[in-house]
Amino acid sequence: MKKIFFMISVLFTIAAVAHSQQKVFRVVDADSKKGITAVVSVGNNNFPTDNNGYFKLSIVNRPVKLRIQALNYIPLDTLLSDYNGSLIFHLRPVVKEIEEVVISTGYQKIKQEQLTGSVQHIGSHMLENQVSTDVLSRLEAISSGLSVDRSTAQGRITIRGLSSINGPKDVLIVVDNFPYDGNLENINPNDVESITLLKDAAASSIWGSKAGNGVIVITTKKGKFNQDLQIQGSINNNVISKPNLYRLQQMSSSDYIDVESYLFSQGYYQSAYDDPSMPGLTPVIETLYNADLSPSEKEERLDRWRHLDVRDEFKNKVYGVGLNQQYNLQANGGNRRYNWLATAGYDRNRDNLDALYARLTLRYALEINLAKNLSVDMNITHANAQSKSGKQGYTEITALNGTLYPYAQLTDEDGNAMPLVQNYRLNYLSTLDGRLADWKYYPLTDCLFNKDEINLNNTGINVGMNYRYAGFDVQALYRMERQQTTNENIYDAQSYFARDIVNSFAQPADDGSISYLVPQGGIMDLQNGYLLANNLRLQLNYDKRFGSHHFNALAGAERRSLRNESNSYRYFGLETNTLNTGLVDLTKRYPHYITGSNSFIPGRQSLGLTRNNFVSFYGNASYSYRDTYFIYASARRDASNLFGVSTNNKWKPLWSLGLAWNVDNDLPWLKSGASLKLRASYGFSGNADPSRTGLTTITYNTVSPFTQSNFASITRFYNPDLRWETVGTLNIGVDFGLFDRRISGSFDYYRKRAKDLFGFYPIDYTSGVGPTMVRNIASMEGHGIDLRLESRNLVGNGLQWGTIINFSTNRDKVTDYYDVSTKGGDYIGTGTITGLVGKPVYSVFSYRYGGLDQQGNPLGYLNNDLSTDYVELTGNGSSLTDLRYHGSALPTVFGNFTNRLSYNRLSLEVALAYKFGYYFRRSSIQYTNLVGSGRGHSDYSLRWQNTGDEMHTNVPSFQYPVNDSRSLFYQLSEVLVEPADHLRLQYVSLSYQLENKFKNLCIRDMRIMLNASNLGLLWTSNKKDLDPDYDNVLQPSKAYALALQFKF
Amino acid sequence: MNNRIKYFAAFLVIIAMTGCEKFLEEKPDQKLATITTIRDMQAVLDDYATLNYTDPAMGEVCGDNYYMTDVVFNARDEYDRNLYVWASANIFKPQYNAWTNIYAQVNVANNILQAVADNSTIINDNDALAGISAQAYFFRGRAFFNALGIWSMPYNKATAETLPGIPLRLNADFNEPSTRQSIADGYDQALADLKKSAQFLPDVVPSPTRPSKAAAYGMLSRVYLQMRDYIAAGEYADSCLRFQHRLLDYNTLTITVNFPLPHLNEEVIFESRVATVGPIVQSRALINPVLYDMYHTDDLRKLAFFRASGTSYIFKGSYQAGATLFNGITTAEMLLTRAECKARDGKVNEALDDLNLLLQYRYRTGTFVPTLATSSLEALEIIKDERRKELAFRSMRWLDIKRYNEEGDGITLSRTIDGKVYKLEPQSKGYALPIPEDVIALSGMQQNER
Repeated sequence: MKKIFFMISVLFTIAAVAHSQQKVFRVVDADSKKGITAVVSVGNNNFPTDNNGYFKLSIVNRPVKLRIQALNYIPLDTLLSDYNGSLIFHLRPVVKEIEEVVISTGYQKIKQEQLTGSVQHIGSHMLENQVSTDVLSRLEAISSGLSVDRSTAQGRITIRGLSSINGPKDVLIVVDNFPYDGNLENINPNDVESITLLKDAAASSIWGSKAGNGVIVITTKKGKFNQDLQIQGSINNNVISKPNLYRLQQMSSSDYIDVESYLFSQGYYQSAYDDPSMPGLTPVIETLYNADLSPSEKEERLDRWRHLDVRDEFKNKVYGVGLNQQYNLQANGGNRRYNWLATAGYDRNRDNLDALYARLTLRYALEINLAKNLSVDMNITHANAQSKSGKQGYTEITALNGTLYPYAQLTDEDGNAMPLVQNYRLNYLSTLDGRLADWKYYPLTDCLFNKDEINLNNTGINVGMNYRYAGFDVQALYRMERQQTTNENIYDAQSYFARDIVNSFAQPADDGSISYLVPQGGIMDLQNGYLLANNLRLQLNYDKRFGSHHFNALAGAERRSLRNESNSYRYFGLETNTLNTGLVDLTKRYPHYITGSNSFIPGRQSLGLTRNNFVSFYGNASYSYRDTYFIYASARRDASNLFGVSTNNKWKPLWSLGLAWNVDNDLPWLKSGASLKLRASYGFSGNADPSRTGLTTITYNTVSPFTQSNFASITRFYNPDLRWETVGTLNIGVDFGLFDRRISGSFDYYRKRAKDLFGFYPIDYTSGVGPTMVRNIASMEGHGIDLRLESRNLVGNGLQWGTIINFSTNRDKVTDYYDVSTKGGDYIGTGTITGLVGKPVYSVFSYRYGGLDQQGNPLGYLNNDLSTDYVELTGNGSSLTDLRYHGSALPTVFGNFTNRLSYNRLSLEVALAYKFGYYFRRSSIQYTNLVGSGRGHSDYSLRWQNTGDEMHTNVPSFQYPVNDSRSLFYQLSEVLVEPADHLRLQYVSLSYQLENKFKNLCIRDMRIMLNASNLGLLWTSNKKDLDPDYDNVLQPSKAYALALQFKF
Repeated sequence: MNNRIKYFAAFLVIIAMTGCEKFLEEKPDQKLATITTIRDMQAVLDDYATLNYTDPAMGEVCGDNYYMTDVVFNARDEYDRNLYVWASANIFKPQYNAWTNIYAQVNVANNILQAVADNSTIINDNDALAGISAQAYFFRGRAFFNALGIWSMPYNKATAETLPGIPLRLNADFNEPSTRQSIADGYDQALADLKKSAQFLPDVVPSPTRPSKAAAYGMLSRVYLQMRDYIAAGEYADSCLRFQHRLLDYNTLTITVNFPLPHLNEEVIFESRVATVGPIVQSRALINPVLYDMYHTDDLRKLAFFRASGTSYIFKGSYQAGATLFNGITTAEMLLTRAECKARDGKVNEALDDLNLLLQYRYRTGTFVPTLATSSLEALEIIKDERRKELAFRSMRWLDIKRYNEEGDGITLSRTIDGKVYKLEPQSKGYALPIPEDVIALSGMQQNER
């Protein structure tokens, strides 16, 4: 390979080189003095060195300007004025440069070596190997101490585990000095210069009351002074494969039809069948009730359906291959007085279901030195995002009770869309044809008539002014952000939604004519949202060295307001061609065409206005001696316009203290190739939830249709004892480098103590305020380590191999809980906090399982005796000691592991992520759901059916009438709890760097990258091959990207 | 230099603090308010979803106007099955049940009374405040009465002082522990609240969702009737009818449609409905043939209230004009109460006048023959039957049975499921339903005996 490059290089240069005075030169590493492979440029000619750094050069005219470049080294520009024998050029490795990392906390920029807190700095080069449209999703694979909790639909980022149980759990996101208020998807990842995670109190407490869960500081790219015009761009195309529907544990059609036939024989559907409101029935039930069919015809029809699997149609007719495209262009330049940078990015994503997301981002950053000590900078961003709904997917198309029977058909034999049963019986709806518009729902084509479009515009303006005078630095910063969102949801006249409402309110007259109270036509829901954020910050910085003493301090005040306006309106009888709309009367109740039941026409009008105002004062100071000993302190006071809170409670002081020692400065022997720094910090942050108020508050609703006046409900009750949550964090850390920084990294140990945590405390609801009340009910403690290790395993000319390991542990436990119950069932629920002192905040408990008895009934334990008294088992009978404790429901050990292998210009990066030490409750057949709502599960086929089955299955027999407690007991029993440890292949990326190869195309530099992501699990400890993050839900589809990055 | 810095620091503080107080006093959500004005208070009292539309359905569910078939019963969840057969435990789902709904109404009323007390000096409009308090007293008294009907034994002067009633929460503090007071205390409190409300409620209201004077008298009549104080019950029914006495002629209705009874019709004095529970969902609750056969073929209610479903009938006569059950106060109910009270007082003719006044609006035009009776006992039996027929599915039947059994009628309720017979004997302790188990666990209150 290398030879080929060499040959190409030679071909490029050979013509231009004259052979007069050939001399031997050498390029070496400045530290190790070993030769390195480099390219030497003379004017437009390039000369490669050999593997040992030697090259020959014929010098015609002197002086000669040389530029020597090598991978991972700082380019050297030199003037070869004279030639005196062998000449050696020393190149300094780039890594040395990166060590001088400047950290932005959002309030100040400081060198990493001066920090006493625990931070992680992620440069843009670390983000470039991933291709997602948003920036935050790229963090999981590369950061330390950060994990994504996927028990919520969106996935929530947590830094160092939980600090709160019921309070706000979101991480604070700061973009360019100020908290970001718009949608985070507005940020173009290519605009990001660096991301800093502030993890401990010393790092984050400057952010005050919102920093309790950690802070992520995003800094966008800026221009540089004295830099020529640079243009660079990138293109990437990410192909998203079809999702794998067959991993979903869907009950087989045959089993499902058997259950329906059985329930039919038991009369289960009789009341629905007799119901004059004609509730929907599945095709099997309609068939079984159909008196026109003979028993054999019914049987034949059912048998036909037994072989269907609705997932086949979803796979072939609904899901497609998605494509995400991303284009980005950046230009920057600068001279002595000013610098600038401009970027334009365009993203166009089409997902598996043809939903579109298109985003245009524009940014311009300018920095001007107005005078010797006065500078002004500004940054203007604009983002426009448009999204458009696509087809309906597997979970969105449902028949009855939010479920879909597995033998559902989306199309008939000829490929025409088939109706799917919804609220009313299909054969009854057929009898209405001709009188009313078709009342059936055709899931495959309905999406053609529904258009849900969101248009978002976000504009941000940052202006800053900086005046320096004798160590002082006065800063005024302002940020304005405006975001306007328009959501237009158009249901065409042909859509099921519009037809359903129009038909429902159709009023038949005695003469057979029909009057429409909701005019025939489409329906449009319009929603507008408007956000305006204003931030003003005035800050004074002081930085002075007196000999060995270095003093640095800042103090500032900040005022921040956030205003959200919203309105929504629904138009009826919409004629999309002419934009005509009709009128409806929302104040009266009208009978439903089928049921005759009276109801209001569902209007949708509302106005909303919220305002969040904050005032803060803050400051910090640090002192260092000989750049070796550091002491740091910060303090902050916040206030906000929490409603119904007395002024004293509005203010919350928070502080932190940090110490650091650069050991290598004191121990010179360490200096040779090693570094060591010790850090310690302690501090407080807090959580105030604006929704928790001290006074009884009411919320005004819309107009009452009865009194035609506004009515209000009590939404918060007088709760005078509520206090802020506070979190105290102790952090002890070490930063180290060994063997010429071949190995470097950091190790942090932290301990968090959070008290006065908000909790839903079950109260006697005779009080009338509902079954739970928010109180300060708990304290918790968390501790863990974050280890980050970077090693350059192989260095040298050809093959290079680097490894980055992030390893974190986090264990939390409840240290105090206003415990009220010894009832086992109170600790066992899914997704709720456990609240048991000494156990993790989210623990997995289960009922002990004694297998199945000879009738297929699950056996539990009551006082160590086997029992089938399920009411007692799931009710008051089981005490805490009867339960089995498995462990934490959140990972206690997690992190990632990235290997980068490069050979000259080719490099391969493989990123793995892992989570260990926790448990999850897998899904299984729940007979209550199966009978009640028709939700099946493939475990049904494993159920106990005959005597003897209890020897090899744990799935209870199917019983009717359903014993809900028995069903619940099985659902919460130990047999459904699985260890969740797993290792996930996050992404694989292969890139190739081309330099100076496309001179004719004006391209200086080019990088080609192939990236594959969402590749699934490599290993999991559960025997069933379940993905603990995505049990019985669709996994993100595998995606493959081709990306080009180039510099002009 | 130092001066400049000082100036800057001063500037900084001034800028940041300018309007700081006002800035921090701004409402975070424009829709939020504390209850400080008459408008706020009225808005809370107009929260019909909480105050009018979540009444308990037990008065119907536990009664004998309907039955479920075995297959429908078996398809219900355990709570519904337990409720249907008057089981001794686990008939209310934890956390959200009839108890939650009733005491939420009590709490709203208490918060309004608290707000009136807190703001009386600022508002300085005694008439308006009295009107607000009156509404709150009405809703609280009504809620206590509804709770007593479900969770305490029938009112009997001899035992009312000793048997446990319900907790009577009279202020908004949710930290205050709940204790059960006697049945007598409960009825006294309900009466006191309703009497206070009657004094200041307006004669005319914009919508029957708001209590009027007539509504308060109607509720007082219901309470006294349940206490078997027939003199007072009759007098309050009479007072109520003085304000509102219009009746709906069923001959004007299209009785064949799915829900023929108009919503908010002229008979409605106070509008409320029950929170539906499983067994009385329209298609499941089949009409007891005994009830169905009581209606004369010329009685329009026979067609207006019922429709065939298979070989049985289901109910379609709710004044909600839908499948949810109306349980508000109507002029017809007051006429029947007045008639019953007069009959019990021996005033046979006056009693039958009231009854006939109502029935002529219920029978097909031209077919009605005025009812006659020779004795007050005969009149009473006729009136009780008419009461059951008129107030079917108003969540009142079980309360009437409780009362009749106290009078010695000896009605035994029974249900048969898969051949097994469940009975509720007269004077059975089953007439006080078990309080939700989680309430007992959290409050330590005494559970009803079995």
